[in-house]
Amino acid sequence: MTEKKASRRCFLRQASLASMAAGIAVGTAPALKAQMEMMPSAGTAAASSPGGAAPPGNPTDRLAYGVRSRHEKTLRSFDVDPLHMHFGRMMNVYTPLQDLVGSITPTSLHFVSAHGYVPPDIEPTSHRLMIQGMVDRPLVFTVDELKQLPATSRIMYLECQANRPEYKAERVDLSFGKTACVQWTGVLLSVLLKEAGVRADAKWIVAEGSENGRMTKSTPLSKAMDDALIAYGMNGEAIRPENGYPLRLLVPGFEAIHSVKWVRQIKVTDRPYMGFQELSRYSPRNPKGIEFTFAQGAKSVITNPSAGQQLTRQGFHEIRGLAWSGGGRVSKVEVSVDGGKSWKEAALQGPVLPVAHTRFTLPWNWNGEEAMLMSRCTDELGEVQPTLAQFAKFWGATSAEFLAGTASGAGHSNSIQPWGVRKDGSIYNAIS
Amino acid sequence: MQYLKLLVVVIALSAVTAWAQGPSYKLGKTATAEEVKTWDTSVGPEGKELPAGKGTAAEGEKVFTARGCTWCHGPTGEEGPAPHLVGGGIAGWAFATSIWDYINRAMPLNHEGSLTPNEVYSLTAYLLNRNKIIQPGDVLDQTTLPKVQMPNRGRYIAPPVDKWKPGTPRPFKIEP
Ligand code: HEC
Repeated sequence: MTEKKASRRCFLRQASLASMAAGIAVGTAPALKAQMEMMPSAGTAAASSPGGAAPPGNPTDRLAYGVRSRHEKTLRSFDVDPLHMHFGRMMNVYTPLQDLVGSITPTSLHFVSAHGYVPPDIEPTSHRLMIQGMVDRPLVFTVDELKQLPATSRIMYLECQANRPEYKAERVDLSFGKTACVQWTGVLLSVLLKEAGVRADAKWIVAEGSENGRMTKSTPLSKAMDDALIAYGMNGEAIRPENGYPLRLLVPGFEAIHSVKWVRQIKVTDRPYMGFQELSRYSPRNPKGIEFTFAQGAKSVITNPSAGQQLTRQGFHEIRGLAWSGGGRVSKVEVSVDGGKSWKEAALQGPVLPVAHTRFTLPWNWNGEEAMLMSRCTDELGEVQPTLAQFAKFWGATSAEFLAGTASGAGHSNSIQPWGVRKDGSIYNAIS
Repeated sequence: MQYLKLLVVVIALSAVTAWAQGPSYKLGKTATAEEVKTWDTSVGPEGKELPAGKGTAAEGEKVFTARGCTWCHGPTGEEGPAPHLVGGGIAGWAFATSIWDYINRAMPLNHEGSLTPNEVYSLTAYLLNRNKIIQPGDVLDQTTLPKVQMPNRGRYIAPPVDKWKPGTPRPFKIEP
C-alpha cells in the first residue's frame, strides 16, 4: 500500500519536472494540459507553424512517459504462422535492424519470440521465483526481495535460434531481426544459488516460465554460476511484458531460448531435463546424434545498404552493420563489395562489449556498377563467420537443402549474408 | 614468510566457510516440501516427479477425442493441421517421460494444465502405441513410463557440460 503511494508521488514529481524541461513555467499537470490544448491542433498546418503543432493525444501523458515524434514510423514486423502449424498464433516479431542506429535496441523494438504464447499479465506483487531441487534450502523470492539484492547491469544481445538466412527474406529484419541488444539489470543467479546452497553433485539448472505452456529449458550449472542473471530491468525500466515482465532469466551468449521469460522456477538438477525445447526443437540433429548448441558463433550482417533499399546516387556511401558473438567480444569485421574476392577491415564503434551488438562501418564509393556486399565477423576466441556453403557442409547438407529447410542439422545459422547491388542501385537478397 | 603463508591459509579457509555458511542476505523465504511439490511441474528423464496414476492406449484413444486433441491433430493424430503425432516428431524423442511432461504442461493448447494424471498417462500410452513403441495392453504409470525404450535413445548425446567453462570454444566451430 505504502509502496503504491510512493510511486504515485514520484509520478507527479516527474510530470512537473517534464513540464519545466519543456519550457513551461507552472508545474501542475492540468495547467500544462490546458496550455498545450491551446496550441494549433494536430494535422493542420503542422509542418509550417514555427514552433511545430501539438501532435494528437493527451499532452500530459505524452510528457509523463515520452512518445517518439509522430513523423517516425519504424515498427516491428509480425509473422503470423500459417494456420496449419500454430493456429494463427503470433510466432515472431522482428527488430527492424535496417532502421536502427548505434548498437542499443530501443525497448519498444526488441524482437519477440515465444512459440505463440500470449504474454501473461503478471501482477508483480504476487509473482514468486522458487529456487529448488538439489539445494540445501529451497527458497522463494518476491520481486521486491530480488530488487534488494546486489544489482548487476549488463549490455548484451539475445538472438533467437531461428535467426537464419532465408531465400524469401526481402528485408534484413525478416531473416536477421530476431536479435536485439539492450541493457539488462537484475541479480546474478549465482547469488540466489549460493543463498540456497547448491549441492556438490548438481550439474544443471532447469528454468521454467509462467506462460500457459510453462515451457522449460535446461542450462549447465557452470554457466548459471558464471554470468546468468535474473533480470527485472530492461534499458533502465521494468522489462516489457512481451519480454518477460516481471522477471526474466538471461543466459549471455547462449541461444535465446535459454533466457526463459516470466521465470517462476529454477530447479537445480544433476542432468538436463529433456523437455520440448530440448527434444522437439533447439537440439540440432547432426549425423552424429541429438546435441545441444549452447553458445552462438561469430555473426554479422550489413544493415545499410540491405535488401529492399535503394542507392540513389553514385559516390560516397557508408556501409553499416552489426556484429556479435556468443563467445565474447567481436575482434574484427571485414567487408567485401566484390562477393568475397577481396576484404577490407571495417571500423568498430566502441565500446566493444562481450556478447553485445557491435556497430561496424566502412566508407564506400559506389561507381554505379553491380556489386556484392558481404561482412565477416571474427570473435575473440578466433571463430570466423562461415559462408552458407561452409556452414551447410559442416551439417552434412547443401546450401539449397538448408535454405529449403529440408536439411537435418542446425536451425540456426551464423553464415555470411550477401546483398546484391544492381546497376540501378536497387539492393536484393543474394543468398544461395 | 611463515606469517604470510598462514595468512593465505586463513583467508582461504574463511572463504570456504563463508560459502558453507549459507544465507548471507536473509532475504527470501524457505519453501516447505509441500510448497515445492505444488509449485514444481517439471518431470525429468528418470521420471522421479511423476504423480500416481495410470493409463492404457485404449483409454487414451477415448481421451484423445474427449479432450479435443482431434480438433487440431486430426482424428487419429496424424492428419494435422497441428504437428503430426504419428511417425517422426515425438516418435524421435529420446525419452518417453518428455512426452508425458509436454502433454501435461502444454496440451491441449489454450486449455493447458487441465488434464488429470490418468488422462496424461492414457494419452501418452495411446501415442506411444500408435508409434509402435509399446504394446496395446501396456499399462503406463510412475514406474513403467520411465522404462519405455525410445528408438532414438542411443542417438542422444549427453552434452559435455562438465567441461563447459567461460571462454570454451564452441563444438560447432567451422573452419572456413
Ligand atoms: C488448439 C489446437 C491444439 C489442441 C486442441 C491440441 N494440440 Fe497438441 N499441438 C498443437 C500445436 C500448435 C503444437 C505445436 C506447438 C509448438 O510448436 O510450440 C502441438 C504439439 C503437440 C505435441 C508435440 C508434437 C511435436 O512433434 O513437437 C504433442 C505430443 C501434442 N501436441 C499432443 C496433444 C494432445 C495429447 C492433445 C489433447 C490433449 C493436444 N495436443 C491438443 C495444437 C493443439
